[in-house]
Amino acid sequence: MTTDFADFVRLRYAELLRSAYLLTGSSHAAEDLLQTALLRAMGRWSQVEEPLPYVRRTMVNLHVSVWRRYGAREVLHAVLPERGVGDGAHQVEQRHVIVDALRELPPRTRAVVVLRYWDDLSEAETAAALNCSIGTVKSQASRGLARLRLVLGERMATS
Amino acid sequence: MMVEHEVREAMAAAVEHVRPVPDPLGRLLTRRRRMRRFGWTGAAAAVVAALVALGSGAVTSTANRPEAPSTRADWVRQLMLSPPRGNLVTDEAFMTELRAATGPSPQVLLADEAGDQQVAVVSTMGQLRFYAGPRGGTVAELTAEPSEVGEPFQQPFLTASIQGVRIGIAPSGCEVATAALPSATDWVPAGSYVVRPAPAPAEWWRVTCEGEVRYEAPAGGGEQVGSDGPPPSAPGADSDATTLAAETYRTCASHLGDRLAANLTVVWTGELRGERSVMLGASAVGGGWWVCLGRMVESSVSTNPFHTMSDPFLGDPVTAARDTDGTVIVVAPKKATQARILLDDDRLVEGPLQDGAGLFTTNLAEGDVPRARVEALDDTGAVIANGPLDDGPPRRDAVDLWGN
Repeated sequence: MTTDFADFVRLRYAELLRSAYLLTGSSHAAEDLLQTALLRAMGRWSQVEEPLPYVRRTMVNLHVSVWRRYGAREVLHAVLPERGVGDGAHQVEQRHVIVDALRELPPRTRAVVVLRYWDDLSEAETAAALNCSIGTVKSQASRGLARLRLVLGERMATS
Repeated sequence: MMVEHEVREAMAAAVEHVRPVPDPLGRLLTRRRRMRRFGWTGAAAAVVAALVALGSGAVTSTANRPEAPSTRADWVRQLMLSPPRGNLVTDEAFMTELRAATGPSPQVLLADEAGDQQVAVVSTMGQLRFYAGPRGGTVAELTAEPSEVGEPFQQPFLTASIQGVRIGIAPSGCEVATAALPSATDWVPAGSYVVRPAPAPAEWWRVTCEGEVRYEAPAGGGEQVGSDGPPPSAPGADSDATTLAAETYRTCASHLGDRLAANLTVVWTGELRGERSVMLGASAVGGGWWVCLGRMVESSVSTNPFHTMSDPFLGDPVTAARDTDGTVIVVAPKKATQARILLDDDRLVEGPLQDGAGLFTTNLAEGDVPRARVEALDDTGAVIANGPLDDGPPRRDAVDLWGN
């Protein structure tokens, strides 16, 4: 392990964990996804020129792959970070609204939405991360947003 | 009307509580150490050591092979010390040129022809390089294209797909056998390695060393072949349902192909959470069933595969299959109108079924899953079927007995 890798984990873990949470919808799965991606990066760290995009790309591709569902499930938790300090019931409800809405998107659409609107990647960067065309990113982002608007609008109105 | 910034704000609120538990690096390293028990890090070290030994002349031939392996790392070392395989290895000029083109310290594991291609697998300092080129071509043609670079050595039985050519290379002294679907039980010896040109058959591979089965799994790994047969159709289905079924079939067959013992057929069609949905199922190689759920989300098809040991075509007792993101698909007798998921005696979630099927979301901890059950109720509230939430992974998903 290089010092660079250790620094990267210390600096970027929290940021990447949040992206993974939006991709997976649970802290458990997010931790598993991020650790798997980091271990992959670790194995070829000397060849990774841009670590952050590389780990993000690895995460979304692992997530999109249906085979991940039947891959290694081992994950090590010291504490499950499901509930934050001082969370009120309303905040929890609002959080579940967006997480549930994201979870209902197809995995690839969800990945596009998270990369575009959470990680703030450009359409070209998102397309590169997902190995697809910019046109596909545009259409998936549009569908994803439309779906989120619909679901969030309905659920927030009733919550 | 919700706009982009509102989605961003909603996401920010959603992740506000997500904070790493202390010492993420330490946990990552702990996980890596656990993986080492399964061999890859140790195995990679063994490969490097073996290559150093080869380079220094300390090991010059398979006659100097160490004693029978007892650990995974030893098995990987034995693979590394095995002579090259393939019909091109007798071409000394070709092999000399290949080594010169792929150094430093190249160890050729395979040089073979398959279909209209030739392929080579070379290890250089613990990293694998895969090459493919036109059959009969020169080494320069074979190595002209950027090679695919694989992970450090993880498996004593090296499997890969190189531009459609599927390969499996076992340590010398081991025997590879193949078994075609649907039963995948009639084993045919293949020697110490196997090479399948595209289109590769749907089959399982097994490796036996010194009389012990060390490895057994679908040949395709994550690169499956589709199962034969036309897409299924549901009786009386409209064109949208037929399209959804066809797309779900195509996706699931391509991913699950050599894990299916039969063709996928329709278990159920209807709506789940307001989305047109279809459930396909087929018996699984080695036992149980694969259930594939396809949902029409906007104009996209979302497909999720589940494995269960309960027959989804019977629906009685209730079939529940769980995805790792917490989603549970329930198939119950058609007269069931509600289902609930219980942990011990506590009700976790309850919701309606349509024609006996439903989709639920749980946030169960992995350790609690074996204690969770599903109950299906009729319109009087009586429990008419029940079953476990998750009856375990596929019974024959992989045999991997190379030691720690």
